[in-house]
Amino acid sequence: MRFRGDLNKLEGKTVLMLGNEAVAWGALEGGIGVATAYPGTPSSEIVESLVDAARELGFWSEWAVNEKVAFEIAYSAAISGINALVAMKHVGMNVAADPLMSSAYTGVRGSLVIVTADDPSMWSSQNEQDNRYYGLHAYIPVFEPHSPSEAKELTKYLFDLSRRIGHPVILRMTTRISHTRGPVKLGKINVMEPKGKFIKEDRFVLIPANARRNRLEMLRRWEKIKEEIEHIPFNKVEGEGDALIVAPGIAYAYVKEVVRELGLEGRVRVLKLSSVVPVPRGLLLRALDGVKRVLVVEELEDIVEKEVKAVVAEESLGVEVKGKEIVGYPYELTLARVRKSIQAFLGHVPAEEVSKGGTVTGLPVRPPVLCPGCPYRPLFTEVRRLINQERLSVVAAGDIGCYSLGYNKPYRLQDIIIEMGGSIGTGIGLANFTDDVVISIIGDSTFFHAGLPPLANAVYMKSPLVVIVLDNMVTAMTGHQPSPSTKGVPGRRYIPIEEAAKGLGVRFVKVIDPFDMKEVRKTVLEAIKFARENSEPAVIVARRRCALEVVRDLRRAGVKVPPYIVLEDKCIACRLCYDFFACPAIFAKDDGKAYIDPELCVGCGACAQVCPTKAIVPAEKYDKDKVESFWR
Amino acid sequence: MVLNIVVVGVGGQGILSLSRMIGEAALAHGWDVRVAETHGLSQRGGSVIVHVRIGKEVMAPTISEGEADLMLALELIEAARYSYYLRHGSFAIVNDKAIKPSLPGTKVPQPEELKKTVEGVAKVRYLSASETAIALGNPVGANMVIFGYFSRIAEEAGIYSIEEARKMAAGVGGKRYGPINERLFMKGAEYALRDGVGDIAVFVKERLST
Repeated sequence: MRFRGDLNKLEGKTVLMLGNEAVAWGALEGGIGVATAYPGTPSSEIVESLVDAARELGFWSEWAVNEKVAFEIAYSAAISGINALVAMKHVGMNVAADPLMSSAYTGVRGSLVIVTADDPSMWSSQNEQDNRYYGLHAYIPVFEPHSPSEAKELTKYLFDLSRRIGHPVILRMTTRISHTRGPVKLGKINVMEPKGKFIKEDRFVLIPANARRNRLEMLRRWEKIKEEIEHIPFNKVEGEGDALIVAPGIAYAYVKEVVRELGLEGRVRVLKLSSVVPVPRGLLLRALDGVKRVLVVEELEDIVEKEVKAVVAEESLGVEVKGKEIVGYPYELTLARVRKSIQAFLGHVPAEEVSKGGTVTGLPVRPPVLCPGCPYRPLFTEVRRLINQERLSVVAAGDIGCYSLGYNKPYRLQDIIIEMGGSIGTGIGLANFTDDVVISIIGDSTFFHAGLPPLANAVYMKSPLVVIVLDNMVTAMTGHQPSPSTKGVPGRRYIPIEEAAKGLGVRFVKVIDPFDMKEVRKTVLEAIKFARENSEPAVIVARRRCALEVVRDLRRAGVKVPPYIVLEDKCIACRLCYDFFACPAIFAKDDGKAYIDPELCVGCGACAQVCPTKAIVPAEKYDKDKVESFWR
Repeated sequence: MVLNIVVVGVGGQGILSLSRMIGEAALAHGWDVRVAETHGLSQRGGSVIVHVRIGKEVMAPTISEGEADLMLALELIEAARYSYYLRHGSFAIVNDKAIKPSLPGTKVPQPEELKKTVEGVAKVRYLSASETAIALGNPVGANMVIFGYFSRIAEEAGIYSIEEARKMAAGVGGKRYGPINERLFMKGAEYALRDGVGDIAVFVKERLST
């Protein structure tokens, strides 16, 4: 949800908000001046919520090309005295890690609130790295909320903390906070103009002599942070007893509910922690007073557990500390898992296992698919066909975006997916050190995110690589955020990808329409030939707008597009359209002939060229040129 | 305690908005609510489950396997897939429609088989929400029919008032689809009246009070 309209009127209201929206509102209350990010699930809604509000309230909120640049923009704003927020998904922090490490050395003059949205259970990510480690690594304190409401309060508080201590702070969200709605009471908006002043100081010049001094300053600020977190209201000890459960971040939500459910309220002690790096030592010692046994319930890694064990050892407390051996490392916590852990810890016999409902075997899987009208489908279909027909030994180096779905049958055109921009970098290694034809497939937003340096590298080392940039002119998968490949963003300049490629020295650059399957075939074959003969990269830009956006725009413009239909008498049940082209709007009837669901068909017409008997036609005549103009 | 509802179906069927409307209606009546959504890749026509939890105080965002009291399903295969979330003796309200996954060579089990799976654990009410939605002119309005059906239960169980929920439904979809959505909501409420949902309401009320 984008914050729109007169937002000040919402003050005092309680709204059902996503955790991410709560963070965005917390930033409004905390005095935001600059918000920036690169989109990535589960973090995208934070800056998305603020885009319109920024315009109306007079602060600045915009997407950057990647997390590193986003970080640098927010960081330099914070150095100039502005209150800044930068958001990213957990793996985005790997991209931003370089300036992140330096930010703790220089410190800031305004606020720098760094939001990382981690993804335990990997709902939409390549790993479930625990970014609390970045806090330990970089000397940046990490805070974790247990609910959307607390996410808002913490964000607001962190703007204040960061500015007072002059140090960056990390707010760590996880999918189940970011994408869970809960009641949030909205407070007073208080934003600042994105106007700062850079005051020249040696600490901002990280040459060795200054860095050595900064290192000592950083350690002094770290001590201040340690003192500060001893007294924040987000941490507290509840209940009594000689057994202590330590519950950082979201773990508190599960622990609290289980403790109540098992009737243990008041009979065990619970240490709720929202500041997890560093762990408040004094508070921990008070919580440990009179305690014989401790269970640390935390999601993913044993970061707080190690700290508790260290404190117990240093103070020779002789307290038994359990954690991961009971709770386990991988995947997100659940009520059942936390209940079982607490029962095991307390030596309770668990109630009889709840018998689960039916699981049916042989249920068809339902993975996400490319949408009807997706411009990538005809290209994938044709590339797969030419590989099969020409008997080419191809490795398709894939990347992160909607086109990752090309991994699925029938296309099978993502043989390796590692990280953002990885298609070109891994493509170089594969092209130079194997005998296969290597085709790197990367999206437009991903190309600007991390495709430029490896493409320069491919040109420089003369790598025989074919790069297909799937250019739908928007960051589609995360919700259509603009990128430099997006035309018509007010006040922003469009960068054609072919110009970028030529600028980097690529000598084979062609722009094609992915809907024109003949052109796709011809150009890809040419590119393979060029790359092999000249031992250098060839770039194909396949440009057509995202179908979801086109359908939306057609509807808004009131342009009617008829669905396509299958002419019963002409269809020979060859299966090409539904099994090989595989549009989700085309189904097989019992006799094997094709049927197009008129509710799903968007009328793109791409399937018509797959049909060998011309049996697929529009249901009625329409203005093709007019509709086509929306797709460009 | 807490009422656990899983809302399941196929990405694009309006599962997120259905869950959110239920959450907002309950919140407006003073309940604590958590709605744990599925975003990102799962929205591209994939299988979707949303966890809705309502109670005096709700802490955890998700429902564990075998602990859901109620299922609202917009599609049969997904109802069967997620039936392991239901506890024995729970209830399921299921749209009587199977959508074939778009994967080459996929075979779909017979509807009877899918239904048996859900019926093995829960008492099931089927309704032709999709048919109703198509007939009334909003092909993607099956979620509104389910919303109306559930809201009748919510009213009888004292969670929120059906009248305010109806206004919410009417407020979705602008001038063109708002009135249709309101009619779809009323249809759903009508189906609930026809089927009689007193047993579900009693069950739900009990979950909320114990």
